[in-house]
Amino acid sequence: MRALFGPAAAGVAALALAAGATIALHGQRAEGQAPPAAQGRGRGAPLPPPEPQAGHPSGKLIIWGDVASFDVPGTLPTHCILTNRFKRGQRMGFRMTAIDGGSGETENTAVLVAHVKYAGTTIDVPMRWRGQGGFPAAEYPRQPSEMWTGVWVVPADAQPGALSYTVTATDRFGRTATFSPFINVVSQIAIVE
Amino acid sequence: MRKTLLISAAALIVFAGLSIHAFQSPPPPPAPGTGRLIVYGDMALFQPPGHPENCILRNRFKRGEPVGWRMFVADPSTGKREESAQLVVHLNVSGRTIDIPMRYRATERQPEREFWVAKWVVPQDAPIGIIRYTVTATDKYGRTGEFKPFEVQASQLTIVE
Repeated sequence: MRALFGPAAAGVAALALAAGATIALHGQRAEGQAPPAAQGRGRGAPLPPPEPQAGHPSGKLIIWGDVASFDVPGTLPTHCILTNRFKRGQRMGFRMTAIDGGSGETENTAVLVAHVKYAGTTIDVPMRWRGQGGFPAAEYPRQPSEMWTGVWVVPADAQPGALSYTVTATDRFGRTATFSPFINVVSQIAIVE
Repeated sequence: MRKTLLISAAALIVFAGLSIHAFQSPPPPPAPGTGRLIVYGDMALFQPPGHPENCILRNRFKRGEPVGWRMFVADPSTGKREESAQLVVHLNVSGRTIDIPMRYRATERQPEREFWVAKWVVPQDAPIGIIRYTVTATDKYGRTGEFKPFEVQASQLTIVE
């Protein structure tokens, strides 16, 4: 009996300790919200997960957004203007937000990916939450930003024409959402000469 | 033996507690008719149908050009369109608020256009620069919602020469 229970007890205890350690680690990460000063515009090592938000989840996860020119440097006059027409080599920017439907607040645990249908394949463009990372206040007066962004550079050999895209999201509660732009043909993202 | 059993029982209790904490089911969604409406959409050039630039996305407009808003309203508990919603665009032009009611765009011939639209032709005396706007919605349950564009200076509705 002792021989049977000894390893079993040790196993259960180890499992419990491991689970406890995992949750403790999660808590430590959640507390470490201050973005590193050298993060600049969000590039570099991934930031820790954001702090859990009280009252979430509630209702549906809802996402929405638009597309814009992400021309760089940021001083260019076309940087961040709304457009759905892009030239070869231009940086197509996807800007989205994710809302916890019940509270109406940003669901900052959402992970978003834009899916661009291009040349018979689907290109997945991971998006980055801009709520962390110390973005310039002059450009983003409402801090922290509720926005996620992703960039796809139009290939140099891209053929002119309309493309379609969707954006999907999943949050830490397992909720999912999909965004599709308004259906007007002319408003779809397009590659132009 | 007794000590081993006690350790096992204690570990099981701790593990069960942690498991419940980690996997507890989410609270139910808000009942229909409660919560805030989720309002979102974009801005486009609203030239007449057939015009090659009709409905392209834009945020920079010249005087005389038609600014178009396209909005969707989602029920917070289902994520689906709240068809009873009434929407209004609120423009702040030179310190004065201009309210532009939106109309539901879907028709019998174009039922797929499940969004609301509004148009504003930029006046000839409009000031050059950023014009702030919001869009509000109210539905038959008395719920309200508000849309504000992303707070990025270059993306705001801007009147240019």
